[in-house]
Amino acid sequence: MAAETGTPTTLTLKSNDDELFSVAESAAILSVTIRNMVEDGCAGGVIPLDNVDGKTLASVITYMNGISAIPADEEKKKSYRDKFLSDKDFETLADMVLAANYLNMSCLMDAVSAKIAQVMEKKSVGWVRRKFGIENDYTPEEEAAVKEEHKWTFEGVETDDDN
Amino acid sequence: MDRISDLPKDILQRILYFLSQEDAVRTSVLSKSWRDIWCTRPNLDFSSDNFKGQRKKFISIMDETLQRYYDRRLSVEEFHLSISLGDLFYDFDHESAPFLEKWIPLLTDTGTKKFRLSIRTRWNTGRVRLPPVVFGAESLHDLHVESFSLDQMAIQSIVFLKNLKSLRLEKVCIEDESFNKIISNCIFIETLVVKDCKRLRTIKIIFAHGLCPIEVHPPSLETIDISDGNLRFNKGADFRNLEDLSLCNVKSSLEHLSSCKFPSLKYLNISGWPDLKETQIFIDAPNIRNFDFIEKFVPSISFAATF
Repeated sequence: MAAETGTPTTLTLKSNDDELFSVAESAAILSVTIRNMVEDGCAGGVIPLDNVDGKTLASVITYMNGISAIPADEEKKKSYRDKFLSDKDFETLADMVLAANYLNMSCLMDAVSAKIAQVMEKKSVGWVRRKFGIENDYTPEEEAAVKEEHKWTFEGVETDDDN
Repeated sequence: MDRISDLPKDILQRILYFLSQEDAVRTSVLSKSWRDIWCTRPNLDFSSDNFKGQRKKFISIMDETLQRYYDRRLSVEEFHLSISLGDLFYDFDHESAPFLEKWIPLLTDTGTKKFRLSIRTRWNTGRVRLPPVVFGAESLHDLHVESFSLDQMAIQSIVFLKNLKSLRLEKVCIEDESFNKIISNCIFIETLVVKDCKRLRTIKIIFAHGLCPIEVHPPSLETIDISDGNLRFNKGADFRNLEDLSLCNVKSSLEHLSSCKFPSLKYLNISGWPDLKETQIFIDAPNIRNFDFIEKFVPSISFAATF
């Protein structure tokens, strides 16, 4: 352990497309999944992360390093997270939220989920469908019935064209 | 299937967690796979303002939703309820609020950990009594009460509010005895705001557990006695009836304190305020009679000239 030897421990993570990444243990244990492996003593060799590809893992490690370098200051951490996610497109965010879920990193999971939610805020059904490419598989009658059931939620919605 | 709809259900619920109730419910219209995702999200967020006077609709939707969580044994981890009476509940029963009497116990049964309640009336202060069930809700995390009467009856069934972190009383008709009873039941509070509470004369608080930011500016106050807190004086506030101010281990902005008016202040007692070292501070208290200061240094405080 780092504290005992005096030198920082480095872990090697392997993505599902066989890319290897070195990351300081102190940053990597932001992931509860990795922390458990470290605590169980199974983090000695290469840690395979079967559900994360190299591109996403590189991004997650950038986040791990960035956020763990910030001292306990929730506001600074929040502004780091906002900045980190600001230029990510939806495809990347979807990869990140899956990785954060798999790695059990609640702070990243929440930040990405909130970011995706922000896109949907106050937006009409039609707008959200187009934005995310969601196919409407309701029949017109079914859709009308669901809408009727939740009529109260259709007030104050932006960009209303076809709802 | 498209990328977002293909995400696991627990991730989609996490995303919906960050949406308002209406935005979350509206996702049911997106497609068949979205129809029920919102139904099981771990948080509920209702505001009567969204129902623009449709009292029955608001009550029936609240009833249905809570009943569904209860019947399916789903937990509502966080519940945010904002109720504005007066515009919505024209025939609000002045003695009780049957709907709250029903909803609050249901929330307790569904394991709510974080209950944020904002309840206000459009009526004049003191006309409507806060339903006693409110202070019986152990899961209260944030409580904002506005324009209610908070008398002994309203707190008759008060429980120990170990989860209450923020209490905001605005235009509340409350007397010292009730206020003290509430404070003594929420000792883990982190933020306390008391604003325009006409009958409140004395605020006396000792926080044994860490610092609490406190905001006080009711002009009726005669006594403030606070130990261990972060006190915020509103800039330029006029404490026209305040006679006795006692601050022990309190942190506060000196600039704000200097901008306040204390025309009636007679007794000022300060201890444990190291920030006062090597600064000059002015206190607008022309009628000060007694100033006690307990610290290891001599402060540089000037008072307004006597009238």
